[in-house]
Amino acid sequence: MEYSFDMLTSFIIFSIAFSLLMLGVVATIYTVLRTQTMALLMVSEPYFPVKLEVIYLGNNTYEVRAKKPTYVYVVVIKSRDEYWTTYAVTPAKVKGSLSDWVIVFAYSGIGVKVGNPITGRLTVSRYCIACLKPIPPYVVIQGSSYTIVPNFEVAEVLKGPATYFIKNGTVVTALRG
Amino acid sequence: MNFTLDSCIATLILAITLVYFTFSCLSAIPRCQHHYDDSYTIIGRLLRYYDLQYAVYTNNSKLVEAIINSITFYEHSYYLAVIDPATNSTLIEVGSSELKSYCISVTLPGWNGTISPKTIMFRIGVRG
Repeated sequence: MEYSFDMLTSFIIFSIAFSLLMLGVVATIYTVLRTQTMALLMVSEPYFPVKLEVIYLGNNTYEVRAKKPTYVYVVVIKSRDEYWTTYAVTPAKVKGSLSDWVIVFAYSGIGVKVGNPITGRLTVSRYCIACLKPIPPYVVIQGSSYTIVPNFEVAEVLKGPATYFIKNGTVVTALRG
Repeated sequence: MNFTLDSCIATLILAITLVYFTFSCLSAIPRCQHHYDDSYTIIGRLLRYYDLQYAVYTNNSKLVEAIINSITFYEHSYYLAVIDPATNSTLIEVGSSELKSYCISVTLPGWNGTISPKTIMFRIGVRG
């Protein structure tokens, strides 16, 4: 009897230990694979590499900031018919009141400061308020909301299997505007 | 109790194996991943407009740097050199010259109605 009890106990202990080992191996492999392929999951929404900030300093002055000195185009929109544009290297000071829209364009980045609601739809490119569809990136203003149209397509809207490819040891999007 | 003792020792060995396996797998996970467009894409986008050409032909290296900063992530490194093919001299050199990624070159024919070829060499990478 004692012999049987010993066998049963050892079998249960070893079974539990072996099951936990298998679970651990599967969890580790899953974690590693998921982390290494996370890059493909992360780029499912528009992401601009250049971050731009528009800060109101007071006295009808804004400052455009970026991490490094960056060449930017600034469009200040007072109303549908009244706007002006300029270009500068950040940090740059721009004149504009609190009710104005201030839209800053870098080559791969957009900063928007929302202003008074604008009636209808307004397409703002780096040089002007455009009538036709400009070269992306650009901003579409509707009322007090806006949509950024990036100069690349995100993974979900790309067609075809070759969305990404490996080049130089890095994952690169296969199709960009 | 011999079998129980054996199974306890086997469990200990399995636990040590699992810990070693987990640590060795986790060490294979990269700490951070960088993704960027290749040099051709970046130069192609820059040459769509005339800011880079203006900076090159006015010999303004600060402006060249600011233009490249407006298209690249701030943690990425780049190297850009402007060479005059007529004299084989380097006119502008910005960025990290120690970068090891592949280099592309583009020759601009001229500016403002004049023929004045300038060759741009460009590469982008991480931690150059």
